[in-house]
Amino acid sequence: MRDKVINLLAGRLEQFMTRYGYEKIETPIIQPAELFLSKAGDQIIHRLFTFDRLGRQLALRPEFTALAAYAYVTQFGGNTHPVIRWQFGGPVFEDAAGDYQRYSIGAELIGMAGAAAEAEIIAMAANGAAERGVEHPNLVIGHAQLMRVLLERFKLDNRTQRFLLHHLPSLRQTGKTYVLEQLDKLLLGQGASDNIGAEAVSELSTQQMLDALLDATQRGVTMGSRTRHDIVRRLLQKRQRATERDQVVAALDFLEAWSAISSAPEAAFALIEEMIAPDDTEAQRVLENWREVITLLDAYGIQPNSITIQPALARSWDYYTGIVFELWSKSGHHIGGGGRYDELTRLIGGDHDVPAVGFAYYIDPLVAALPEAVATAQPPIVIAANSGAVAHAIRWAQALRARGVSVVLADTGSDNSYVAQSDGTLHKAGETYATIESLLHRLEVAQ
Amino acid sequence: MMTERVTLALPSKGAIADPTTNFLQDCGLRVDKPNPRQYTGSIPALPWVDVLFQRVTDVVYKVSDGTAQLGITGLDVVREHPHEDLVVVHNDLRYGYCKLLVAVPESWVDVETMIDLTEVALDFREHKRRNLRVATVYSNLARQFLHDQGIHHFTLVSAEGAIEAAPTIGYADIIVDLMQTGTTLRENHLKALPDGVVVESQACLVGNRQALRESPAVLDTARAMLEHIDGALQGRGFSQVTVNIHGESVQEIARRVAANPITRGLQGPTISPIHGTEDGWHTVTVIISNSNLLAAVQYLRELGGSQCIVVPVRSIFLDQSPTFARLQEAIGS
Repeated sequence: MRDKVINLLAGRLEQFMTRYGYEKIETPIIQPAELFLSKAGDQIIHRLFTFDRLGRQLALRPEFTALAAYAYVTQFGGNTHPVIRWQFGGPVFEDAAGDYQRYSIGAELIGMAGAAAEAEIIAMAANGAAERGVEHPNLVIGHAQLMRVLLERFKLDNRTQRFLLHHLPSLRQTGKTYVLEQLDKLLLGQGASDNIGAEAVSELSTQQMLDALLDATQRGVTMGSRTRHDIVRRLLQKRQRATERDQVVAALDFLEAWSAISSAPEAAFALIEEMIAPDDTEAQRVLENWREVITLLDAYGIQPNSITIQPALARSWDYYTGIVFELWSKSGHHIGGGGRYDELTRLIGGDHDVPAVGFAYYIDPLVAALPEAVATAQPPIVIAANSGAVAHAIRWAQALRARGVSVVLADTGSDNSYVAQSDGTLHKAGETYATIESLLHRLEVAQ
Repeated sequence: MMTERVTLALPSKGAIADPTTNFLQDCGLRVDKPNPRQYTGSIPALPWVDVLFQRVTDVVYKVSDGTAQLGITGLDVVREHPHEDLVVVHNDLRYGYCKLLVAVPESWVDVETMIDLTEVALDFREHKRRNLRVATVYSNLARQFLHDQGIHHFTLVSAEGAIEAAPTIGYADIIVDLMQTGTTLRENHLKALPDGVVVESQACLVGNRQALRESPAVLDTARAMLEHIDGALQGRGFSQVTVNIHGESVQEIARRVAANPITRGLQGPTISPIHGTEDGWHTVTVIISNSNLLAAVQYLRELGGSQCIVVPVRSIFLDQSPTFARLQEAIGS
C-alpha cells in the first residue's frame, strides 16, 4: 500500500517538476564513500552505509546532492558552467537500525546564482507539495552565508567558528552557559601554553622550546607524519585563541540574539538590519538578496504569511553557503528542505565553485501529511465475465483503457466488479450498461 | 536431568582467558580442561554443558551463528561485531576492564582533546593533501566514533596486532586501541586523549537470542549461570562474622548489636545461647559489608564480644537473579 502511494506520488511530482524544466537523471546507487564524506558535517555521514571491496571503501548513496554535483563536474569540467536543471527520484540508504532504505525525491539547479534561482527551487518545493494536497505548506528560511559574514567581525579562526556553529543547537536548547563551559573545557582552557611557558610567543622561540622539549623527553621519537613545524604552527594558533576569549564571548552573545529571531519576513528583516553595521556593505548586499527571494516567492504565489524567517536555521553548515530552508506541513510534518551549496563542486574534486541550489522531499513525512483521499491511489475498475462472455469483457476493457481508464480483468466476479454478459452488456449492482458512453458517464458521476 | 547439550564458548587466550576461568571458579563453576592443547572442557557443576575454548572474537562469531549458545568475551568485541542474534546476558562481570581509546604521538603537544584532533585532520587535508591514517583492529567502532567527533577525512589502516607501533613505524598517524594500564602506550611514545574513549569495556556473558528463546535447556543454563554469577558478585562484598557476647538475654544482646546499622546485617543478627561452662554467653552471627569490617569488629568488641571469626561470603542468593529477569525481557520471553 505504502509503495503504491509512493509510486503514485513520485510519478506526479516528477510530472510537476518537468513543468519547471527539470530533467530526470539516474545516478548510480554504489559510489566511492569519499564522494559523500566530502560533505563534512552533514548528519547523514554518521549513518553512511559503507563496505569494502578489494581495498576500496564504497557506499550506498545516502542522498542525491553530492551525486548531482559529481555528475556536473564530470560532464562539464573546465571553465564553462552551463545552467542545468535536474530532478532525482529513487531509493537512498542509511545504516540505521531496521530501516536501511528510504525513497527520496529532489531537484538541483546548478550553474545559476542569485535570488531567481533560490526562489525557483523554494517555490517548486512548496508548490509541488501544495499541488499534491498538502494544505498551506509552511516555509522556514534561514541564511548560512549572512551568519558567516556577520561572524567575521569577531575575527574567529576557522576552528572556533566551526565549534560555535556546531553548538548552535545546544545554544538554543541549553543556553549560553553550557556552551561557554564546553568552550572553556575544549577550546580555550588548558592550552598547550602550559608546556611552553608564557613568554614564548614568536614562532622561532616556540620552535626552539619545542625542539628542546621533544629532545629532552624523547617525545620526538614518534611523530606520526607531522613535522615539528606543523606542531609549532598549531601551538601558536591555540595560544592566540586563548587570548581571544572576549571576542568569542561577544560572538556567542551575537549568536544568541541571532538564534532568537524567528518571525514573519518584515519583522525579522527589521531585527536583522539592526544587527548589521552601517558600513558592512557585504552583509547588506546579502540581506538585500534574501529580501529579493521573499519578493519573488510572492510572484510564485507564496504569501509572506506562510514564511517564517529564522536566520540561524541549522541545516548542515559546512555544506550550505547561502539560503537554507525547510518545508513543513500544517500538521507539523517536516516534509522537505534544501538550500544553496556553491562550494560543493569544488569539495568533491572540481576546479571551481559553481553556484548551485537544491532541495529534497522527505517522502515518509510527506505521505503522512497528505489527506487520505489524495494518498490513496485510484483503484482500477474490475470486469469479470459470465460464461461465454470473456471476449465481451475484453472488448469492454480495451474500450475503457483507450479512454484512459485502468481496468483489471478478473477470473470471478465480486461485489465491486462489473460482469460482462453473453449479450454484450455489462452489469453491476442491478444496472445494465449497453454503451461505453453510458458507463463513462456513470464513472464520472461516481467521482 | 537435562539431555540436550549446551555449548559455552570461553576465551582461549588473551587478557581475559585466565581471569575467566578464575572468575567462574569463584562463582562455583569450576572449568575442567583435560588437556591444555585441546579446545574443549567441561564444568562439573553443569554436567550438560560443553565448554569450547575460542579467541574472544571467535566467541562472538560462534555465539552469533549459534554454534555456541552462550559465551564469555569482552564488551569491546561485542560492540565491534554486533549481530541481531547476539544478546548480552550479563554486562558487568567486573573483571577484564579496559578502554578502547584514541591515542596520538606524545610529540603532538598541541593535541590534548578530540577537538584538537579534528583540527589536525583538517590540517592534513588542507596542507598535506591526504587523510589522517588511523591504525586499529576495531574498524567499525573507530569509524563511528571519529565521525561522531566530526572527523570525516581519515583512512583506516587495518592491522591485527602491534597497533601501538604503527605511528613509530610510520604506517599510521594515530591509533584506536585497547588500553589497560597505559604502559604500552607510554613505551611507544603515545598518549591517550581524555575525551577519546570509544568504549569502556569489561568481560560479559553473551547468548544466542534464538537459542535462548527456543531451547529451554539453553535458557535454564543461562539462569543457572546467572544465579551463580549474581550470587557470587553479591557475596563478594560481604563477610560472615561470628562473635561470642555475654548478656542477660537474646533480646538484650540483639538490641545492642542492632543498635549500630553496620552490625545489623542483612535482616538482623542471629543469636543463640552457648551451652558451656558459664551462663549468659551467646553466639552472634551477622553478615557485614567488607568496607565496614574493621569498624564492625571494633563495635562488637565494645559490646564485650570476643573470639570474633570472619568468613568470606561466597554467594548471596536473592529472591531471584536480577539479571535473569532482565534477560527474559531482552529476549522477549
